Amino acid sequence: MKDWLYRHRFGVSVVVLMVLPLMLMYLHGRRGHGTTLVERMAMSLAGASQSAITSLVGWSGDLIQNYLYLVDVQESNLSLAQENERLLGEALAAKRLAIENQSLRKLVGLKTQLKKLNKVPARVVGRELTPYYRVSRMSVEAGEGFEARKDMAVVTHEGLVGRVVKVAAGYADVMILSDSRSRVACEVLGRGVLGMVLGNGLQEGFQVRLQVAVSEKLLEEGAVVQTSGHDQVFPRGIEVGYVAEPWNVRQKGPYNEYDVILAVNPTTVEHAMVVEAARPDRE
Amino acid sequence: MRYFILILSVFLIFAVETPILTVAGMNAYSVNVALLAVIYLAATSPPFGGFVTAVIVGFVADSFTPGGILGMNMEIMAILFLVTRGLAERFQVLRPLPLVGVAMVCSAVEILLVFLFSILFDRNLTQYSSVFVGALPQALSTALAGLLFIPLFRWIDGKIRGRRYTGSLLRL
Repeated sequence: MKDWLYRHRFGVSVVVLMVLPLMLMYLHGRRGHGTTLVERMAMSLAGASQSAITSLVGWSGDLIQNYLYLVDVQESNLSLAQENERLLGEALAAKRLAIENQSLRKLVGLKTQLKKLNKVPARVVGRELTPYYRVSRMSVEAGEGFEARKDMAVVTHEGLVGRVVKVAAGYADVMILSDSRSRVACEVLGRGVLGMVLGNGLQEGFQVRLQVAVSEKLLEEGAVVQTSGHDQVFPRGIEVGYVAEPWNVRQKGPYNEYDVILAVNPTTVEHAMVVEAARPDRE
Repeated sequence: MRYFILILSVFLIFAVETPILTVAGMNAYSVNVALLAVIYLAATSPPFGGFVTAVIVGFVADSFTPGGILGMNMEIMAILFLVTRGLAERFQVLRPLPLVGVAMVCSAVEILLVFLFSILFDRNLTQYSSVFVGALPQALSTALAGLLFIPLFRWIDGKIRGRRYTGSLLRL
């Protein structure tokens, strides 16, 4: 038996290793499955390395930028080099503080805006490397009595980013609204028009599509689209985007389809909030 | 040892690629390092070791593909290893021109396999035409980056084994 296996090891490995991924795909492709041990292992391994390297790249970028700047100062005026260094250091520190302050203010603003919601901060550690999905990986901070789960909404002070599709070891994969699999129940603010926002799957353009019933009146440019809460996933009232070029409306079966520009540009998001359902005591 | 170092290299390149591309604002032009590693393995490794390593490289790619189905890249890399091995028995696929061609063909096969497995296992994926258009820049950047990454893999291999892989264009 051993000899047979050794002689046919390539054939055996081809059969086993072609069937195993198919089984994994079947297992993980089913709707509503939890995070499996293999997924947790893969996510924690990749997430930890991405998180470390993202921090390292940010730190190195600062270092290189500062170093080049100082070399330039030294070359231009040696006598003022020390003074420049001190001032530059102060300026950068002040700038960093200002950016941090601004970021914190925004997060506080978000908290005020969505007081009813229980949420924890998250930091983007990785973005998609394939053209097939629009999914970012975030490192989620542990909150008191809060655990990030599948289907939780992810927001910034500007609006909705997407939803959590997978969670493991402090990391969450967040499907952003432009992913072709994304569906969000929405309403047009002030118009009472209900619809569904669907992702386009586009990598660079941050447009999505809004489908509303053909019986509804035509929408005007700039109409604000927000979550309606009807999908039982996203809390009501989070801004999704605004209608662009409504004259290019297309009819798709029983629906009119509008282009919607997202309120949040997913490529620039670095920090966000993972939102739990509304707090029962505030309702 | 050789396979372990190659897998580790692919892992590190994947980990470094995201933040660097984000800083450069070039996420659309990401390089499919797993595909290049599999082409290299198919051209330079014995069938058994190369095949197992290709599947593990696929697992690494799955780990760095948020939103994807676990196992998809493993299956794709296994198939691409067998396809490239077939080509490598007839051509020197690691020469610059054949390499670009093989990388393009493999990228095309990969796109088709992603669509096929998405239809079978992940019915939510839609908008195939826009996804296909989005996949073209990556196919191109992967093909061109092969000219950089294959010598890198060769160099790593040379350091481990103390020899280099050379040969004529056609294998007769």
